[in-house]
Amino acid sequence: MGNKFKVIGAGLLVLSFLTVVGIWTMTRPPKLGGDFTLNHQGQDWNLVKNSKKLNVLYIGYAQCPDVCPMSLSIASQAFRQLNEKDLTKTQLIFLSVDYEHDTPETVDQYAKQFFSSFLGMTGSKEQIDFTVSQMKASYAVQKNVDSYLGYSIAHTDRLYFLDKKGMILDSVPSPRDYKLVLQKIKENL
Amino acid sequence: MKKILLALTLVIGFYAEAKVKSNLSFDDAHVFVPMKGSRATGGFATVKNQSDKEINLVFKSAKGFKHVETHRTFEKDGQMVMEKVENYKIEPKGTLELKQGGNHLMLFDPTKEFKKDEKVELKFTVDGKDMKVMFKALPRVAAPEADHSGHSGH
Repeated sequence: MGNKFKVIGAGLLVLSFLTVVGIWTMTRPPKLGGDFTLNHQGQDWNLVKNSKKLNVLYIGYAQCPDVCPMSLSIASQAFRQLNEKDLTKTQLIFLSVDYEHDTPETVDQYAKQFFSSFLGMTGSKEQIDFTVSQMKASYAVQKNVDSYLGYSIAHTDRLYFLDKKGMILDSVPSPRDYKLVLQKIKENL
Repeated sequence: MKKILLALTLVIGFYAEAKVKSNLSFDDAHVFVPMKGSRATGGFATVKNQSDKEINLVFKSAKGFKHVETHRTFEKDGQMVMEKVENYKIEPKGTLELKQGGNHLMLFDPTKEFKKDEKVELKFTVDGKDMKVMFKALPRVAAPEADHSGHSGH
């Protein structure tokens, strides 16, 4: 009789455990992000091989006169508040999706004007599309014959905070407040 | 006779511009110093229509740039989208905010280097009348960087 209760008890325990695990699995947010390879200064640059403890990613393009430089300025303000130790553990990657106009050299030069350790990168369409899809971000080239440049690019305006493997730890949509960016960096370092 | 007509034209021109200026004010008017690697930069200001009539503002040119346009940025389906607009209409006693992430001036292909605090002459037409406004060139990144990167082991 005693053994029977023990078996039922153990069964209930296992069932409860499995229920909890099941609920947790079904309700936890999906893991987004992952490794990617882009072109930095003419060379393949792989995140996992070059990652730091915290990798901040912004997706835009260098000809953007508005939200990209604004977001990079906000990020640079946050980076300026970091001490040397934190800076060695953090890097920002600016991915230009404008592979037809931005070169790996010009986009890196562009990014470094915001903060000297910022890395500007672009890549082939395949590399860019893969990276963008890893982050569940998006962009769309819009031809505009009336405009001087002839195009503009609609894109996600978000800072992604990635771990060493490129998995998204956190993100800040439309970064406009450097204190919030700084807080997120410190929380994830 | 020609000289008189020329003088008259100039006087009328100055009067017209002065009248336009008295109806329209530009506060915090600035353009960001163009950055290497980008052909475009932005111009921003708070423009107030002090008159009792709607004003039609058209951006015509900027000294030191090959081309200018007016644009607006807005969010659509999770993306920031930018579209060209031909002009801005400002309601009577209304305000037009030219700000990052919204309506803004675009200046393309600088023909010279701009320095911090340099004055940049922008030309507009206001209801068809010319108006020059001096914008201040400001760096994107305000303060010089306390560069810790590249240092090691402290």
